Amino acid sequence: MATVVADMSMSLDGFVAGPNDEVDEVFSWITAGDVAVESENPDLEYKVDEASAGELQWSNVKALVIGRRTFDLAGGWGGTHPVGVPVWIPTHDPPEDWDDAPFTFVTDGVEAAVNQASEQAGDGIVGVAGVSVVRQCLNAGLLDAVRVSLVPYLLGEGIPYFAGLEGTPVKLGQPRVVEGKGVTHLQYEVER
Amino acid sequence: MRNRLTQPRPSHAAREVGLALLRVDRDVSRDDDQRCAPLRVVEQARRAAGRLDFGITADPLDPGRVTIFEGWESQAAVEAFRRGGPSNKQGAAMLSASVAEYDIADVRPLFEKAEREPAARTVPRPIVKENQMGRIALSQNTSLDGVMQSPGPTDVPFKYRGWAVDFADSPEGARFNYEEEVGLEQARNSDALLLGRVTYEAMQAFWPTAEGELADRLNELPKYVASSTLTDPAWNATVLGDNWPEEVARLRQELDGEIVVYGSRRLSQALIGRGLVDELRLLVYPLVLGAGERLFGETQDKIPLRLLESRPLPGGVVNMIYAPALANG
Repeated sequence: MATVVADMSMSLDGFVAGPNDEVDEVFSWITAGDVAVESENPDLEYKVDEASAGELQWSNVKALVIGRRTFDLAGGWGGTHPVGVPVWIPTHDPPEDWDDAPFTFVTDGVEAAVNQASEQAGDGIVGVAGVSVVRQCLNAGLLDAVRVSLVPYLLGEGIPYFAGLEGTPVKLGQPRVVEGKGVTHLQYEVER
Repeated sequence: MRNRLTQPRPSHAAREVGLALLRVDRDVSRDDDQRCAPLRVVEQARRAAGRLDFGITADPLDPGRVTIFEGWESQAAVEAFRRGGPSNKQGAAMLSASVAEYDIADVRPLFEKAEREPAARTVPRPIVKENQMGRIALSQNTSLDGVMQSPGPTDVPFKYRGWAVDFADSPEGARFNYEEEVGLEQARNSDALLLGRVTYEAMQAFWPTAEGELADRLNELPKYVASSTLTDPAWNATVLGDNWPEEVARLRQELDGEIVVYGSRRLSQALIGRGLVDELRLLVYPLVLGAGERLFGETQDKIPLRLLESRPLPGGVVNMIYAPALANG
């Protein structure tokens, strides 16, 4: 069975982006080091330190579920997500023009998208990103783990990683903590 | 500039440097005798003891307006000079005047710095005097989503009140001993506590009757409470009152040691906003609470930090310590 993991970068005060979707700060760690990490998308380069490079070993990530808003903001990554695996995008209104890209637009809900991605992933990892999708996944009990790449900024305002949760408190397990340059990676199992 | 360089003058504190800005609206119809008065004042001021600078400038637009800049080594020097005062005649020539004094907290060369530090674009720089002695550390228990409200038992109507205590009662949480891991050492290393009224009252209701090393230490430490309503503090506490931001800045400068803030959400947010925090110490519990007051509020601008330490503790708690990225330049 696949492991479903939410994975986003977050400021110390809890935001994954500024109020107008600014991400320079939360993604600052991605270019903070000397170690180049291979990306399937030639336009997106990762240069991190060694500790973070270990965190970007994506070989086990077999599928992604990413929110429509994030997809649009990223311009569909020009057709190739940096991780280089198929992406499922829950949306009510599938866009056109992506016929050649490994994108599946799912109109019957987040759970269906996660199920389809999990099938693809086999025993691997399904990465989940986008605050709305992560919220729906947490509320539906679909997440096995939550990853937070915590960056040393207080943004003061913005879009929170965790909002609108039902069934709180959500109990998490002992985190794996990896300290990288300009970032602390935290990975928690979600206890059910 | 938002008072980054200067703090408004506290009413009674001793000052080392004073800067006065005066705007005087003159009666320009008065005779020549009055025109000489500023000349005499400048001469007098430039001879005065403790003067750093003194200048009077005419206004290019308004002939009736004069601006005076003064810098003094101490409040005493300003006051000694003031007692010399304008003569009655000269006073009569002033139609109105507005005077304000500011304490100079920091001086830096404007252009040189601007060239060297283009990256320092964003930060409300901490007010640091060269002779700053004290340090302010925020010590906070938060959930992963930043909730800091009522980690311990209290009366407030918050559905998860006491969540950190509940955590300590859970099987994983039982492996985390706050006092052993963090609490006692921090209390031993601190020299005073700075608290908001709500946190002060909650702590004061609990610790005086508690036992153990941590209780003893917390009970003996001097406390400062930022409150405009508290009048009769117990528990070795001093109330800072309405002027608390200035009092805190003064404490931070004068108290030789570490001032720890526990909880105290609004106070903490105000300190962060004013650049008065030297360290942010977070104990992040493995919980997403999804409700409750959060530690970080809106800030004027984004604040870059640097990570000093991150340490996983038993039970899934992570101890993270941050400092402002540009503290002390």
